[in-house]
Parts: sequence; C-alpha cells; structure tokens
Amino acid sequence: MQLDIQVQAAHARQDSAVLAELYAAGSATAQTLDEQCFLATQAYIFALESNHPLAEQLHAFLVQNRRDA
Amino acid sequence: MEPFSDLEAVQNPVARARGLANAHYTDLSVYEVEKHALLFRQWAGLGVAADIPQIGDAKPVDFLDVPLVMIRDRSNRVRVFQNICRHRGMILIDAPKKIEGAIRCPYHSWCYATDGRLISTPHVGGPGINTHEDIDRDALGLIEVASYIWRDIIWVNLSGTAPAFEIAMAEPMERWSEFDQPVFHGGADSRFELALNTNWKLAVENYCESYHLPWVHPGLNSYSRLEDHYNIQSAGCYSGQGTTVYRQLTGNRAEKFPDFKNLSSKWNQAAEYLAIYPNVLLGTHRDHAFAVIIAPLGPEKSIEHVHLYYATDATEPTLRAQNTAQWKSVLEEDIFVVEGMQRGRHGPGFDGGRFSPAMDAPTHCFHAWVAKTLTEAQNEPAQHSPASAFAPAP
Repeated sequence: MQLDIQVQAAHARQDSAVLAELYAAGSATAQTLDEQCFLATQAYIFALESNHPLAEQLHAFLVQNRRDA
Repeated sequence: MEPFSDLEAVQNPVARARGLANAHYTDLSVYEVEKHALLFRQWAGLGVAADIPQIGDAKPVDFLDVPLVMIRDRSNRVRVFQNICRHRGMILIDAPKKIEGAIRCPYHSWCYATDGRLISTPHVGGPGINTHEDIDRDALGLIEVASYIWRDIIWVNLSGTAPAFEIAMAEPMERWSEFDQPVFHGGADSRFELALNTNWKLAVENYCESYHLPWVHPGLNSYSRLEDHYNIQSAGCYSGQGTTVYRQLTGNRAEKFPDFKNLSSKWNQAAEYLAIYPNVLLGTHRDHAFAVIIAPLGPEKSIEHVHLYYATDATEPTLRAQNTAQWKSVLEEDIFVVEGMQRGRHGPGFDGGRFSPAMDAPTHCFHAWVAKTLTEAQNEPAQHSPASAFAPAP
C-alpha cells in the first residue's frame, strides 16, 4: 500500500527516475513472473526516459524472460 | 482548384510584369496550394540551432500546422522529426524540454531514441510482453524531415523532394562565403518576435527592396541614402539589397562589436540583406548578422522570429541590447506597410500592381519565382496527395 501511494505521488510529479525505482522495487517483490515482468516493464520505460542506470538490468531481466528483445 | 490565370503576366520582364493577384494573399485555397508548392517542397526556415544548444534539447514547432520537433541528438547532431508517435499519432513533446534519456510518448509510452529509433514498445504483446511479431521496431522510427544548418538556421524540406541544400542554395552560400564562419547567437536579449496581420509573402517582398527606405525608414537617411543601395537578384532562390555605407554601431565608450574574421575590404562599409526564398530574411555586416524566419499562420497572419548574431560569444551586453533595439525599431517601421498592403489586397480593383523597372527588380524576382514555382507545380502530372507527401518510406 505504501508503495502504491509513493507511485501515485511520483506520477503526479512526473518524476521518472523515482518511478523507475519504485516500479523496480515492486517487480522485485511481485508474486508471479507475469507481475514481475509487468512491473519491470513499467520500471524499464521510466528508466529509459530518465536515463536511469537501472535500465540495463531491467532490460536484461525482460529479455531473459523472453518479454523483450 | 482552377489553374491560376495571372502567373504568365507576373513572369514578364519587370518593366511589363504585373504582381501576383489578390487571391495569393487572401484566399485560403490558394494559401493551401502555395503552402505545398512554395514552402513544403522548398528549403524553408524552421528555427535556429541556438534554440537547442545542448545535447538532448528538444523544441516542438508547428510549421504550417505540421507538428515538428527539433532535437539535438546524443551525437550532437540537430535533427527534425514529425512530432508524432508511430503508434496512435499522439503528440510526443508539447513544450521545450531536455530529453534525459528516451522520448516517451505520454499515451502508451512507446519510447524513441533522440536519433528517432523506436527502442521500446511496452506491453505491445500483452501485459509485461514488450514485443510482437507483427511490430517491427526498425520500421517504426520517428519520421525524420530533411534538415540542414546554415548560418545557425535550421532549414527543412518537408516533402523530401528538394535538391540537396548545398545545391539549392549554392548561389547565396557562394555570395556570402566570406561569412562562412561560426556565428554566435546573442542570447535572450538578441531575439524577438513580431506578429503581423499580413500574408507571409508581403513580408518577403517588402524586405527585398530599398525603394521604400527614404519614406518608411527616414532615420536611415542620415547616413544611408537610397543612392547608396544596390539591387541583388537571382532568378533562382534569393533577392535583396545591399548598401555601400554601413556604419558600425558605437557605444558610449567608443566600443564596437568585433568583426568577423578575414573579410575583404569590401565589407568595411558594405552590408547586404537577402531574402532567401521562401521565408528567411538575412542580413550581414562586418560585425553582426541577423536572421528573420517568417512563420505563415494563415493567408493573412504571420509571425517574424528575429535573431541577432555576432562574431564571438563575448559581446558587450549593453551594446548588444542597443543593436537589438535598433533593428527592432527598423522592422517595426515596416509593420504598417505590410499590413496596409494586406488590407489593400481586399480591393477588387487591384490587379497585382506595376513594378518600378528601376527599383523593384528584387521584389519582382520573388514574384516571378512564386509564379514559376506554382506554374511548375500546376503542370506536374498527378502527384501524391499532400497527406502522403511526408509519409515515411514504405
């Protein structure tokens, strides 16, 4: 729940770097692979936008799970 | 639409020619035809590189209703793209900004690199699945518009059909080859805009000629008389005027702007003012230059974006502000003329007008270019529709 509130606030601020970190944190604790990949995708996009160093490892995770190229 | 009936008379020698008929200044359907023939298919001025000085800088510009964005990519190259996502046609960038990483569409977050490549398509294959066999990212990059930087101006050819810029603009580039050296935008105090209730062509026409100077710019008479000016015209892509008595601006402490390097002695007292067809007005002097980019906003509305440039990036701010004020004053003196001629174009008795054979050759040169270009466009076999003219390659 706390994560949801932080995500909402970061969306409101359009803070892509924080969004990348929050979604990545959500992905790390998600219960299923589908949830992990959904949240990792969200994180990856905001990492791409903000040139966040997380982008590389998020992309690698998605590629490893055949969710991205 | 009916073929134009006035173009032959316009292309007569200046002594016998008539000017363009009223419809070229007032009629929306003519404006649309001219938009494609005279602006989209030529090298038109869009903006200045100084507007996007840093890597990642992006500035959206709507040019004749086409949404474009100027971007300085990661390799420091200025590029112009159509400002639309290849997914749903959403506007990508709605205000000037710094692209830190990728350009993210605000709708479904497809992401593009600053060089236009489509680099991510989130959830395109379903939640958490970012690829789909039918979505070929390599074929869905941003639609790039042909562009070229000359004298800091970003020139664009939207149709992609014009000859290479260096070929199309060979004559003015050669004429001013001595000034082919770095120019430095004076910054925030060296730019201004003038909104005009006039067709864009009248702003070009007025700029071309010196005939009006003693009447409209009487302040110039004190040192730059009409007889000190000469006409410049080329059947191709530009015309204008020059003066042989340019006097440098001097500050209270006798300071002057530094000169451009290695100029020939001609430029000690010469200055030239060229209208580069279709929509850019340039001036150059030994110690500064300026550019006016005319953005047409409809048949009877235009805006002039004015930028002043210097030979170094360390000019004196007070003198610079004085120079900007001086040029602003001169250009503002022209407003009542271009707006008055625009109102005059609603007089049904006006037949395009007659030119002074001695004084109006540069203006006629522009009219003749308009007429020739429209005639060529009319005579071309069936073309692709305007909508398809800027489509990406299949």
